[in-house]
Amino acid sequence: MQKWLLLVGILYLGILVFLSWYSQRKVKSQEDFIMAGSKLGLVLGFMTFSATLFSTFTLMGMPDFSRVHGVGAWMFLAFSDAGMVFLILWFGFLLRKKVASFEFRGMSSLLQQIYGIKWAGYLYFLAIFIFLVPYVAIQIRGVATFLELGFGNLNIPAWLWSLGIVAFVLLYSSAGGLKAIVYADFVQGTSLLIIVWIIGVACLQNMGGWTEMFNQLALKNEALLSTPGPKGLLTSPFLIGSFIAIMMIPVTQPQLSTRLVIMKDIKAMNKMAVAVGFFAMLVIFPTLLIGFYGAINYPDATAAEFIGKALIKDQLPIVGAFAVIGLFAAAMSTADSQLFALGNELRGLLGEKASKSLITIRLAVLGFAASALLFSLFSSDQLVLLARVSFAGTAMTGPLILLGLITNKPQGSFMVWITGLGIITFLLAQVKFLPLKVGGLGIDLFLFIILGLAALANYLVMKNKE
Amino acid sequence: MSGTNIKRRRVVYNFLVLLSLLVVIISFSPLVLVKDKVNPTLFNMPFALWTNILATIILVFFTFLGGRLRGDKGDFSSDN
Repeated sequence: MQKWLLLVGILYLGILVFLSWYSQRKVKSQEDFIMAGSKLGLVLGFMTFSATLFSTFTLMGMPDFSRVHGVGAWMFLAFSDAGMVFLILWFGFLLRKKVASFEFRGMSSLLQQIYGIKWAGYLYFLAIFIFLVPYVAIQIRGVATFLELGFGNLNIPAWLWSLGIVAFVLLYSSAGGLKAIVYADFVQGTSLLIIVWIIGVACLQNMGGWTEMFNQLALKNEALLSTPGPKGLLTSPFLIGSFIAIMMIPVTQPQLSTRLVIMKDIKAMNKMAVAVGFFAMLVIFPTLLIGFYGAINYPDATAAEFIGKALIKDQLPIVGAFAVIGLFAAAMSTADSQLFALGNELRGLLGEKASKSLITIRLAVLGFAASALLFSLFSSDQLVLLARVSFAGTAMTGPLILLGLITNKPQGSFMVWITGLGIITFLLAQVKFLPLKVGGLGIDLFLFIILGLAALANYLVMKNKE
Repeated sequence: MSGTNIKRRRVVYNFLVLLSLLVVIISFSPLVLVKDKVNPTLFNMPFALWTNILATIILVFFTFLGGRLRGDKGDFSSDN
């Protein structure tokens, strides 16, 4: 397989280097570098959005999640993604309308302008830093651990694989900016879709076909065929909390809200939302097949063992080689966008002078990449559950952002402080200092309700003051 | 586009939002999330899987309809 891996790897990295060089040539202004020219059409728009959204979390995390928790994995992610694309119609319109009247230098800077309070932007930036850096880290860690296990004969430790991934991301994103990332996303998204289907179909054939797959699952563990699944995780409160957290991703995560802003127009953005919905179904469905294959054949294996066997060892050498490259692609396509978005947010907060310099964003991206790399050395391999914490954490800023976008007048500082309190509470619950459940609800769902009600109350009070 | 047409589009869109909320509420209700319920199956898929796939397709289809109703400018004012 290593012969194939070398061949496919060189081809893939060659394409990325070419795209980076090509976009660098096309970058004529700062706007081109940071916002990819803000004229993305449907195809590039939906591919960059999808590739950014679906990461290692999808290719490694989801098969393992459905192996352990069964059919409810579909509802956890695909249904939540469908809710997310419906929200894009409304949120994207609101955001683009606001951006038309304010200068857009990232969401942190936009919140400062809307609320007229510096802390609104600082709080948002702090939230995304706290929750996105670990998210980037767990993806890098996931792929690196997998590569270390899969290529033990090369004696390359996980940290060196991590360093390689980060170095390559930095290379092409700092050369060609967001445009290079968008082009790379196109290649990475397409690779992800093709690879996940090839492996999904191979797994299905291996299980004896569609009907036999469900028969075997029922024999193995009937709880896999319904919610809440064998471990009882996928209960209504958990799934509702996940639904809100995932639906809020384009609102609260800058790498995706930026992609709504850089679409050519509203028409292209709305079509992009539908296309992302279809893409989500197409990508998630085969991950379930891979997971069911694992539930039947490797029910007791660790996550890394199962992924290594299902994606590589049980496949033809050429498919295994493509799977490794697919994992690289998945990790890079999300990591590059998140690191770049973090850099852009910091640039926006540093004010007018720093905004005009590309060095700021390059240094910031480098700094965040180093933080993610450091974090990746210590994070665990529970990809899906850690990703969910990241989604829920950033989602705490959702009511603050939506309130700011809905209204035309400054809304005071109440929401800024209560959101800060919400984030602290969420963090304290994650480190078990506070309970993870309040009255039968998960702490995330409880906080979403409180912050949502607070935003509504803030809106009504301010409206009555006018 | 006339004001009446815009108003009509807005009303239909709001109705679509309500329908979407209904789909979400039903999907999370005990009507769909039933412990150990496998039957009725559809194309051999257990109940929780096919109902959720159906609900997902419905939401994506509503997104398509919503985009058409909001029009090219997103404010219900333009033709598609």
